[in-house]
Amino acid sequence: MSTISTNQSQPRVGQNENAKGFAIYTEKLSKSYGTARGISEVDLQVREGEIFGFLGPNGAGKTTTIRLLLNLIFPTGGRATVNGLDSQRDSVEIKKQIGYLPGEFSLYPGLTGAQTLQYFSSLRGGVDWNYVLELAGRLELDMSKKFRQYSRGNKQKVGIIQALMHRPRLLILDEPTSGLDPLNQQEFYKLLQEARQKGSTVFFSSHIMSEVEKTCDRVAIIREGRLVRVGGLDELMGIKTQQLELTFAGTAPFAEIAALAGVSHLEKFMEGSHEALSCVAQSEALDSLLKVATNHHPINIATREPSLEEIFLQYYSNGN
Amino acid sequence: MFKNTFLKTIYDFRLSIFYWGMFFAFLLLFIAGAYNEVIVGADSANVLAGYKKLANMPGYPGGGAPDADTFGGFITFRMLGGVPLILGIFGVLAGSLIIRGEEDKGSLDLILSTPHSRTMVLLQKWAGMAVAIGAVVLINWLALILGLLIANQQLGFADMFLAHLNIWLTCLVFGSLALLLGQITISRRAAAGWAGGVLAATYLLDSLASSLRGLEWLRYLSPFYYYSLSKPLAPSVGTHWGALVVLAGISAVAVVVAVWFYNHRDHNNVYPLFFNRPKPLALQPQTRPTSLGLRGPFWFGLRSALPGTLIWGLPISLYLGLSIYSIDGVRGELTSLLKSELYRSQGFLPVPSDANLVSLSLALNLVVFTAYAVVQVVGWTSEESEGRLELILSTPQPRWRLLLTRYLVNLLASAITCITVGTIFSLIALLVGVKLDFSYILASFFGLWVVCAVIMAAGFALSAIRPGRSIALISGGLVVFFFVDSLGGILKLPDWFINLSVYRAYGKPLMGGVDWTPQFVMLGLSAVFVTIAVYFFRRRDIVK
Repeated sequence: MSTISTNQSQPRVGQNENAKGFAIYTEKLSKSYGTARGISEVDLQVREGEIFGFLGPNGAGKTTTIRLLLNLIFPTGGRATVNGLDSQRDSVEIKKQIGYLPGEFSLYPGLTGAQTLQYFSSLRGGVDWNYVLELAGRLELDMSKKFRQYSRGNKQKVGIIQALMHRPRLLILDEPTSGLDPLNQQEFYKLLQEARQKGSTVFFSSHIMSEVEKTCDRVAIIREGRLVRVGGLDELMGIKTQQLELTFAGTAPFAEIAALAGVSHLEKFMEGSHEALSCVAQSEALDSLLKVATNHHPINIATREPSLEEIFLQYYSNGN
Repeated sequence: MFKNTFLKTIYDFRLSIFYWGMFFAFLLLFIAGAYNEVIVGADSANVLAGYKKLANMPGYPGGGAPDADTFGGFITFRMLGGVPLILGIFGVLAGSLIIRGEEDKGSLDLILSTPHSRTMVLLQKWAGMAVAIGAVVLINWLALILGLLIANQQLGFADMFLAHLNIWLTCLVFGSLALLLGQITISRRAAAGWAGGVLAATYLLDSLASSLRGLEWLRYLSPFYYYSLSKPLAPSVGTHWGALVVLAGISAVAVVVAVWFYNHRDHNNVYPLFFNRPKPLALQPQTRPTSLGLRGPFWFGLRSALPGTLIWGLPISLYLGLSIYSIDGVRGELTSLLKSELYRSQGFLPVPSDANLVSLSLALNLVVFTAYAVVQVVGWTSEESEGRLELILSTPQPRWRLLLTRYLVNLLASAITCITVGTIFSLIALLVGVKLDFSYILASFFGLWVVCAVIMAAGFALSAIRPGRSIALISGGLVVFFFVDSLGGILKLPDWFINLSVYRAYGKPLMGGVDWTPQFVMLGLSAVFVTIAVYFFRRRDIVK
């Protein structure tokens, strides 16, 4: 029976009380690279035991945030705690409790997969080799090959196994499925679910909306170094905008609807011989929009929920 | 410079051209500067007799020492004879890099996705390498012209051109062979290793086969034999056109075969020669690897550093062994040098004792050891620049411990190298009958270790502060120190300034034992530098 590593140090004097119950807790966490963009005043809370997706396009600040949590880089403002421990002061203690997969990494080209994993298990300690074998089997990794002979996907598998092999309390994964084939991606999602069932927290960044929609409990969206939205997946889908198409018996109330707050992308078109409008409406605008519509004899109202991908794109296209 | 693969290849070699070119240029200037001291001096008859003896010794480059009393013959014997062996290493490294090395890095995939045939890519890269080797040879030529001015001598333009053409063609042979071997070996390291083996074997074949009765024909298999047939700067030998054609022909054949192999093999794989049959699929290793070298950063670091101790230690031992072995042949020359102002100003004593003469060889040995120390620093910085440090630091390893462990490993590796070289050196000295004080030998190699310790500590400190610039800064600093030590006396630089040089601080322990004060200062500085390294390394961002 496997157990999750719970090697937790005693709370220290001055430990942030607000961080209790959170695997990751940041307060106004900032990193400035001079002229280049970093992150700015990021407040992020990841609860223990959840799978948390971190979304954002290239250069938005995902990797910077992750590297700050691991103390690989130092904040220019704010602070972060991981499992209740200060990311800078307790960095070594934190690393006993986490598994990390960088977005890009290289390892020793002359070592086999097995030798690489043995070296990292020596650095970490507490690795059950049978579990390494199990992971290698499930991800179909031939550990007898040298690292330089691996394809990109197989290199990624070595990275995933080294992140999971000590059954960490918190997994921090930067675009983990990059390079994996669909079958191995499915196996990887199962591994994440199993880790969560055993009490681990998973924090991962991704571009792939379908995998976030499928695996995550909550999601944060980062844009140009600032968090623009954090919420449960249901919550995010709930507050999300609705795409509407309204067909009217008479003249479509274009101006009235355009004047409503929370309505965007309004367009007028002909649906057969009838005037019709299409728009995107935020949840809170739906009530007033439908009131206006019903006053103008609507003959058809069609709505569609956008996918997470559309929500994501909307955040970026609107600068919302 | 980015218009095509050819120009891009030259661009990629720009730093190598500069470093290799400068190395040969300075070496040539030193040798050219010694001509009047050695040959025109009072002991010239003894010197020339020594050269003849040296040239006939087994293991010395073939072709004798013709016209060694002339400037051209002197330069040919003391410098140009050895250039293809050393510049051949550049050829081997370059030839193994341009195709196999780029496959290792993954950058060739993108180049092959552009509308260019493999033949064109390979030929453009080969041509770029040929120009790069040519550029190093050209720098050597320019240094020779400067050397002529320093020594107040004259040489014909055509002769100088042909002498350098000879060098270029010989080095190109090894670059082309490395390119060819890269088609049948799976990694750049393997290609460079095999090609380096060919370089060493053919050198020994040329230099030893001539003294093996009945086996002299073996020399025909060595490019060095064809190189030695032409000595354009030695008036009595001149140029052997046939030999030049043979050298060009070997390169041409190697390139044609390399192109054929490259066009008939899978990308990222080897041409399946009989000794490269696909291996049966290995079984998944069920047992945990138990190698000592995988048990944490210390053992892993030592496992990685040990091959370097042999790669550096054995050639250095070979060089020192040859120096002692051939000391009688160059006794006259070394004596003249010891009496010269240049060497006296560096602290050498003008007495031709064995210890003083061997000390001259140890001076070059010191330079090689400092280069070894820099390479050890490169090993540390590459952990970060190649992206491995990020994963290592995601494990519960404190930064300070990781840095100190690595420094300790480097200290140990340097100690092993010093002990290996020192032991071989002592044994050869004993066998050859060169009279050296054992305690002074011990002091010499202890001093080398101290120099390595302080250079590595300074390198670690610089890499903790400016990781991207540390190697350039430490290398540049050592070049400055070298010239301050070599020329400081002649340039009348103040003593306190000259004494800052690590080369001066090393002293001449083989001549008079160890001077403990500078050794303790260097050890103290090492501790200070390592403390600085730990302080800054704990407080800076890890470069991605």
